[in-house]
Amino acid sequence: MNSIPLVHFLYLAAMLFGVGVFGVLARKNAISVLMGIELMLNAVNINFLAFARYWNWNSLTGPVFVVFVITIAAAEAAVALAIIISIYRHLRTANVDDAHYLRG
Amino acid sequence: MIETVLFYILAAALIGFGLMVITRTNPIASAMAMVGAFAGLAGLYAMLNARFLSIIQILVYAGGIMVLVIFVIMLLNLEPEDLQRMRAKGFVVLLALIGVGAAIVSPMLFCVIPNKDWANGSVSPEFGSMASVGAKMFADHLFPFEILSLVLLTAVVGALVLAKRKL
Amino acid sequence: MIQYQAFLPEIWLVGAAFLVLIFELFYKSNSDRGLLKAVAVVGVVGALLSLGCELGCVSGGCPVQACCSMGTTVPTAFGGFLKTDALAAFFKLIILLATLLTLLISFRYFKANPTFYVAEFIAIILFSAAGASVLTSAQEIITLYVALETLTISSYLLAAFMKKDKSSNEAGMKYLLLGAFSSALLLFGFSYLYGFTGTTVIADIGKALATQVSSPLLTLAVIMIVAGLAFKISLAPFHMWTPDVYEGSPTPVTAFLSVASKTAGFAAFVRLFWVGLSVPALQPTWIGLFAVLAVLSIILGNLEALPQRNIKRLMAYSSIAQAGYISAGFLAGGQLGLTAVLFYLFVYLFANMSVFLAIAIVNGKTGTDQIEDYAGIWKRSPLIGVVLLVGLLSLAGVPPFAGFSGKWYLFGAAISKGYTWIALVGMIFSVVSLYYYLQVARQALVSEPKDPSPIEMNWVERAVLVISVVFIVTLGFWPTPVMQMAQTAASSLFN
Repeated sequence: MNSIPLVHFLYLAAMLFGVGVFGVLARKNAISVLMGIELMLNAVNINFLAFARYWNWNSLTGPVFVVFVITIAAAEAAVALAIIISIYRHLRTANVDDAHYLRG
Repeated sequence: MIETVLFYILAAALIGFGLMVITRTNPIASAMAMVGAFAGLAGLYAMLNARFLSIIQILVYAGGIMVLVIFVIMLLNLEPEDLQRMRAKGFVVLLALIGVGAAIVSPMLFCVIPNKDWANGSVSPEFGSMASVGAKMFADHLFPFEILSLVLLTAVVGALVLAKRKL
Repeated sequence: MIQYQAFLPEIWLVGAAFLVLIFELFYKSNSDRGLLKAVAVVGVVGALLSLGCELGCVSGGCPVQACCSMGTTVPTAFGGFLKTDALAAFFKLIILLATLLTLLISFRYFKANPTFYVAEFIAIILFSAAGASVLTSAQEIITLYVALETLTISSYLLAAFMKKDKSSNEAGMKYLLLGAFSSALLLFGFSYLYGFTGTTVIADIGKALATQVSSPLLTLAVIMIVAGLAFKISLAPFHMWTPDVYEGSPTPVTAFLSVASKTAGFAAFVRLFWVGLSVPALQPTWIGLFAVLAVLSIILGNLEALPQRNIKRLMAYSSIAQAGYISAGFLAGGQLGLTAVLFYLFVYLFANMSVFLAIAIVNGKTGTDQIEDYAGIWKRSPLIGVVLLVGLLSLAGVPPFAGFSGKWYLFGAAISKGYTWIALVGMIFSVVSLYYYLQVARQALVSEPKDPSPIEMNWVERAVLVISVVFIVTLGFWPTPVMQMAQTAASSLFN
């Protein structure tokens, strides 16, 4: 019943991953960088699900891996936001570039 | 046929929202675009027969993580000015170059996936249901699941210490 | 029946962490918290004892036969996802010793910073040690990934733990953003690997790929996995976070990152690459990648260390170079190379940790990490002068210290596999490194102190410093016992 080739899902994931990488590299705001990383992780999830669904194993390892990735992403986001709040308290900014106390 | 159309609509929405996430100067707009992207992803997961995960995607990502992000953006009162334009316009050129390069190279990459065990169409009815994913997770992957609880505990304890003004 | 021996050390660590968090509830806000420290130390020592017992059982040489209920079988749990063979046990030994020394350094740090969140800090250190420890025995990618994230997410928190200190905040944020980015790269590589093989068990991946012809997509996956993990062990050119994070983090955290994190990263490398990806189609690719990364790390790490004025920053660049030396042994591989890697990690543990303990003690007295403030440390505390001299010369690889024999084995392994040029670069830049290590030692031993007041330390710290120095010197003359352990450990990978 599924007429979409696997490769299309892989393309989509690669594109989303590229968008995420671009967000990480181009944005200044720590929260936006974090959102770029979340996009990358979601691209990974598409890959896992598509591979699991399409190859003949119908293996459930892929969906399980996705559950783990989502949970870790949630923990990572919580930690990131806590650090951003604590840095904002000192610097009144969340920009990565404005934090420059550490230079050689 | 309808599936193909649906796939391309969802894929276009996903990439469009993704681009909005990384180009909007207003952080709230970025975050809302992110929620849209997650909705598109949930639809794609449903097309991949992963029913359980498409619900989780909405519940955890759109409902949990993004609410947290929006909450922090509002708490810190991040103005659009805080979020200056891209570091350099050159990045846009770079992106275009990367896009063109990827479009040329990637067919070569993907056509070499070995076409063994191709299961186009045949999927077991169990695939992606809550029961089957749960059974797999708690049978084979019990140990990483336990370790995952450590990650969450660490994150809670540490985030509390860092974010609370006085503890 | 679960063979709980496979994860007994982790049970000790996690149990101790829980107890610390619970006991904290009964403390008033400004008390000494001696019990918490004791619980943490007991937890790590218990983990070490159970590990020692397990090692003894596996090798058949345990003096207490009662604890060997399984004879000499390697403890395996959860359907083979977790296997604590001799290799894992050796890595665990290094990680647990590093954790113990980190705790010791942090007790000194608590005294200097009375508003510190002692219980939470200790608990997170123990959690991350548990994650690193699980990582070493993980035989499957999901377990490996979750254990790695346990380690790194707690490391982000630890780096930012001085929340009133701007540089610590900044270190935490930089570490987190780059670390999460590298994790995403690593995962993307894993997803392609899963797509090609249909399994996440590392040994099965190796079997499935054995017949595979090389393909660009697979190469891309390997590149992403190498890049993602190289971030974690700070190989150049993925090292840009290291100096900032090492300088900004609290000193015990820097010490932990430089030894425990790196060891765990190498454990993941060894399992993934020498078990899963050591197939003819891929091996040349990743060995070539590692050769480039190793040489770049050795060159950049040593050159950028030269102008540093802050000792923690200097140690950061030094640790990048050290990761490069270790990678030279890693890419040579086989029994010889892996033995050299294990032996060097063991030596590196003592040299680096003793230097960081000295840094913490000096910082507790003077409140600074600038190298010029180390002037005349020798006169203020002879022991710290000796530790700095011996530890740093060992890191530089000067005979007769242990670092020399360690580098000898590493470069010997590289040469035996035909990577003479890497060994040559390593030797040349070891000589360069001597310059900046000796700068510190010169300040400490030759210059006159501005403030001649003596630096105090308690008997535990003194004992640990003396033991470390004795170890470094003894291992230089007589490396045989540790070498034998490392050989057993390395050979367990190939059985």
